[in-house]
Amino acid sequence: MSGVQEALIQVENLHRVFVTDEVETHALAGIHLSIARGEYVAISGPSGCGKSTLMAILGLLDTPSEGDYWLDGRPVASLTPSERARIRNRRVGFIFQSFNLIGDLTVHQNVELPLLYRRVPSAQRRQWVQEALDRVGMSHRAKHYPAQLSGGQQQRVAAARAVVGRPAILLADEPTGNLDSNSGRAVMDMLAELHREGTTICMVTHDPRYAGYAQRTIHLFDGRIVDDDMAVQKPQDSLGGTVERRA
Amino acid sequence: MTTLWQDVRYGFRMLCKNPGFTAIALVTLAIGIGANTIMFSLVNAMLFRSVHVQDPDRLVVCKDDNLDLGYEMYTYMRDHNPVFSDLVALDRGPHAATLVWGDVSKRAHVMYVSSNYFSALGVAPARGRYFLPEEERLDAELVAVLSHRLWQCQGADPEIVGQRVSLNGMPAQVVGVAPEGFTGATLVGPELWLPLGSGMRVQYQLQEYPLPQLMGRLRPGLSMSGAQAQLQSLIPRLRENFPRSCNNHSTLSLNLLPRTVHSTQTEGDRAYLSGASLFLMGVSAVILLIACTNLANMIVIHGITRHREIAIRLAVGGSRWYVVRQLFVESLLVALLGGGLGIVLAIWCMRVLNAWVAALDPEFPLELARVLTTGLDLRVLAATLGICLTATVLFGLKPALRLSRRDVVADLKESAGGGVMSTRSTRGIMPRGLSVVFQTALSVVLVMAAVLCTRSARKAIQTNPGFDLQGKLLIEIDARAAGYDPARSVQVCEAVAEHLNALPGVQMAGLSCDGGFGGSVVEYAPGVESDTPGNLLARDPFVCPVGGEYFESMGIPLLQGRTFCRLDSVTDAEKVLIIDEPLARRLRPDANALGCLIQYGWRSLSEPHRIVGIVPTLHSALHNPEKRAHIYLPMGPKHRPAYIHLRLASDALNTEATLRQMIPAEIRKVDPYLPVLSVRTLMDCQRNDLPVWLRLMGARLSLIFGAMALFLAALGIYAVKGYMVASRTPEIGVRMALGATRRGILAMVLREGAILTLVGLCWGLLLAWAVARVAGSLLYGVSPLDPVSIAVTIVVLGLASLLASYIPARRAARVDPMAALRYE
Ligand SMILES: Nc1ncnc2c1ncn2[C@@H]1O[C@H](COP(=O)(O)OP(=O)(O)O)[C@@H](O)[C@H]1O
Ligand SMILES: [Mg+2]
Repeated sequence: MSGVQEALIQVENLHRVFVTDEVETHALAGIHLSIARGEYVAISGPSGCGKSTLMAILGLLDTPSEGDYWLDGRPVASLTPSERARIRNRRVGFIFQSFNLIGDLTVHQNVELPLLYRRVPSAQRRQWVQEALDRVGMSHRAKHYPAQLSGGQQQRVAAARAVVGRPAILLADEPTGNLDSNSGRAVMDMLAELHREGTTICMVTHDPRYAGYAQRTIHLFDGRIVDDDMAVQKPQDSLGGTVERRA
Repeated sequence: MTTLWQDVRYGFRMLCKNPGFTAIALVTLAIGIGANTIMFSLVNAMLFRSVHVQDPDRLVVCKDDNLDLGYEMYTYMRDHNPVFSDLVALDRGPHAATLVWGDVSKRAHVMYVSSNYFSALGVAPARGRYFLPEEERLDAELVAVLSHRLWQCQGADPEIVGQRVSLNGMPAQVVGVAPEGFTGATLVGPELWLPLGSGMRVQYQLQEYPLPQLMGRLRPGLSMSGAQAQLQSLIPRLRENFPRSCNNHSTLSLNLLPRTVHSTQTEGDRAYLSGASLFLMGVSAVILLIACTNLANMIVIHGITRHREIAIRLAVGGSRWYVVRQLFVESLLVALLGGGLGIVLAIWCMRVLNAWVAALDPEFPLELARVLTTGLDLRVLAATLGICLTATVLFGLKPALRLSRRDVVADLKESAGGGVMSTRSTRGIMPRGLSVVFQTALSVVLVMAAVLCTRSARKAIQTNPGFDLQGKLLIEIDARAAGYDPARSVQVCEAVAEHLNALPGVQMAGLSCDGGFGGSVVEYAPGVESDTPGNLLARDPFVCPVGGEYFESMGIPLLQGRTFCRLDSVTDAEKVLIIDEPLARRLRPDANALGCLIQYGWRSLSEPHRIVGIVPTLHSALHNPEKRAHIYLPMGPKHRPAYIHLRLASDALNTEATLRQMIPAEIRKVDPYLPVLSVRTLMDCQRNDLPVWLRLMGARLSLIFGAMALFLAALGIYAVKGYMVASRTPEIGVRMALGATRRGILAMVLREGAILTLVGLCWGLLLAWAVARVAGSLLYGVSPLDPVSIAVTIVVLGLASLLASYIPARRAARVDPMAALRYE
């Protein structure tokens, strides 16, 4: 199956069950999904349908209760915790709804964090951080603390932190959820720019306007994929069509 | 009332819901209260415990200067003075005497007092009566009043009055028993009181009436200064009546009764006691500080974790007063429960302390330790409880007030999540980080003190006196009390020693006498008879007559020459002696002083003695603090042996206890009349030596309190680190998402803890150094900057704080990143 080898992300029959106080929640109930290198995928669906859970599993923050996951053609089930941390660090970039910048660190230090965990030498670190901040247009705020920035600016810093280590995939969980529409659009434009530069992006949003930025939209409902517009169209073709349809 | 009850119930529920918080707060309170109660009870016992006499404030000491105070003058003053309603004379006792009571013989402390002593102090006898005026006379029949404790120890015979005891061989009739707890005007009393006039017969060395010391009770309404003025009017009359004892410079002055442990207590003892008391109070203050810091932290943290609950309460219309009251009730509950635990802890510790004191050798000097066998002082307990209650409630109330003043909307928004994490909490953490530093520093001081005291006590115990203490028994006898003259005494004791020597397990038995200080020591030069200078020693040597087997029985090796033999004590034999090595070096730089002739004491009175042996010096800084030289004489017919030394065979060490018990009976087989005062191992003698014992006690106390401080500080570090980790859970989640490994997170939290610990350690060591410089005089044999103690302190504190932050760090490393990120 050549598709499996091509795909950056390949999941099959993914289940995730949470057991709390003897109540079982089937957050994910049989997900089949494959994301190719260079793709820009949007995941949407009502609150509680399992979007964040799926993102966490894709980002190796969580493990599925059942099912298989290949990242870059390698099964991840057998990885040790420290190998998973290493892959998170090198292959995955996260952007969160609430930015999650560390308040005690400056913008520069926040962006630098993944490189520190990777033990990149300091000269190279400085250069990469500079480049990442340039890409999101925040280099003039490098010495500021997150609390001194607006929400949109913080999210751009978070994006810089996510891409600074040149990850294979960028996972963004409702990156515009806490932003006003102007800042939201700016962040979306930035993501589109990153995608053009070659980053694979998987983004959760339930704002139909922003879903339109992606090439492909996956709809989740009750832990299942109920609609995947790639199922009917090739990604390349879907771009224009989706935008037209959504816009 | 019902709302209060609801508050209490709700408070209990909240405490049960946060078992960690509750446990730490309760333990902290308990230790704080317990430690302080014990400390202050001890200090109270040492410094402030009142003596059991009526109106001690009206008692004064009358000091005389340039006055040859004798018994006649005392009686004149007693009967002709406008100042005292009672004037009491007492000798500067207490004197040790051999008390024989049936077949029990022991050393007892006796005080000689005027017959009005008890009535002046205002105490009624528990049994019998006190002294009659005529019993004060020199030729009166001997009568004695027993202390309540002695009476109890000897079986509390209800028919005690009228029984006969023997004191230094003199028969005396028991006429009464003093009331329980009565110790005279000092904290520790004698075991027996005898009338002033009996001193001469019982204490061999006393001439006539013992030199009295005057204590008086001021007439009612007379002030101290008034009394002082009126007293001066007495001087001219004294000069008139006692022209030979009184001159132009004679004065009398009044002093308030000092709160002394003992009437012979010296300034030095008192300084030691007040130094030790200050030290104890300082220690308890430090523990209280650590405990309060812990409490404040716990309650503030507890309050912060409840922001949201409180915000919701306020949002749904709860009044501020309601919130304050609820938090107030909760902290009161904590304080009361903790206080209860503290009392339990204090009682238990007091029991342990009393057990230590009770385990003491009955021969323990001056019974000083028994002063400490007090129960808990209720006032102290109440005061400590009060302090802790106030502190808890204040600390509890402060966040309550602040919380209730909070901006509800901001709180709700904030806890609804979003934005930047942890900037706000940074400000909250800093003071708590500081509190970790503060607590660490304080506990460094106490741990260091504990280590130093322990090492000091070990040094004191282990000081090598120049011979092995193991397997040596010391038997104290009193041949004089048996009525033997010196020659007979030597005969009897030699027979006893010979008999003991034949016992299985005894390797060698030797004899020695009470020694004394021997004046100057000069090398004999023929023809020089006058007391010209040439003294070899800065301090008088200690001169001790010993038997021939003494050195071998003590295990003191002979460096040169020989020990004494029987012929050495024959009347017209050459006078010989054995000296110690330092003196030998004074005589001959190469210590080769055998055969030299020396004279000691007054040269004109002293015959030259030939040195026949040299032994090592007795290195016990505690027993021989001034490093006096020792001179040993052969025991002759003029000397009276006071000790029998037994050296046990090495295979008899385990039968030491049985041997000890047999010895009095074995001695009675040889001579039924010889009182055996004690049979002790040299180890016990060393341990029961007052300076050693005080240091041992100090070491134990400081260990307990050092451990308490360490435990409290570790709890504090644990609580603060735990809170820091909890409040940083989302941040930890982010770091994990960015690729931090669990080990990395663990290391991060530990590293942050280590930095605080390091800063605390540095401050603490500085502080400890300052304290040790001030309190260094309480130490023995270790420098305040003892590197071993410093190292031990650093290691102990480092380990404790590592452990205390390891648990929260592990919790941090176990954070589920997904759950952590869901918080936001
Ligand atoms: N750690 C967890 N423990 C228990 N239930 C969880 C946990 N995480 C998610 N869930 C449940 O799984 C479902 C999916 O959650 P989530 O993926 O966060 O939804 P979405 O991001 O689409 O709003 C929800 O019902 C949620 O309650
Ligand atoms: Mg979600």
